[in-house]
Amino acid sequence: MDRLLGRWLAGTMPGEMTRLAQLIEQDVANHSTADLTATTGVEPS
Amino acid sequence: MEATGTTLIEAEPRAVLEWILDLERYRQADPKVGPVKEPVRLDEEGLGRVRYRGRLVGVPTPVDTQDVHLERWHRLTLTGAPGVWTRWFVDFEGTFECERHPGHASRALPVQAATPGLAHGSSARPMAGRDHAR
Repeated sequence: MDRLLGRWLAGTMPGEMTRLAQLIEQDVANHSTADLTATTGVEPS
Repeated sequence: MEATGTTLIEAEPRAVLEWILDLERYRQADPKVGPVKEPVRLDEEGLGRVRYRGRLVGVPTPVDTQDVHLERWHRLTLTGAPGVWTRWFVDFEGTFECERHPGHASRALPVQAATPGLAHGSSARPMAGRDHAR
C-alpha cells in the first residue's frame, strides 16, 4: 500500500509542477497587465 | 515515501511562494489539496498553521492541521502538526525551495514526503523521486 501511494505521489508530481508553473505565470502576467492599466488608465494593446 | 521535482517559473521567488501559500488557489495545481478550512496566517517570523481536507488518489481524507514555516523568500515548509489525531494515520512534510535561476525568474523545488503514522509503526522509506524540468 505504501509503495503504491509512493508511486502515485511520484507519478503525479511532473503534471502538478507543469500546472503550477503555468498558473503562476498566468497570474503574474495578468497582475502585471492590471498594474499597468491602474497606473496609466490605458488598457495595454 | 517521498517525491521531488523541479520546475522553472517566470516569476520572482516571492511571487511563487506567495501564490503557493494561498492554498485555496494552489489547489488548482495540486489535487492532493482539498477544501481549505482555515487559510494560512503567518506571524512576523513566518510561522503559522493551516487546516485543509486532503485528497489521496481521488479519495477525500480527514481535515488535517499543518504547521507552516515561511523563510522569506526562499523556502516554505508544511509539516503535520503534532498532537493531532490524524498523525495516527499519516505524517506529512512538504517543502518548496525557490531560488533565482539564470534566464528564468525562479527555479522551484518541491519535496513532498508522507510517512505512515503511529498506528502503522515506523516503516518509512524513501520512494522513487523524479525530476521534472520544463
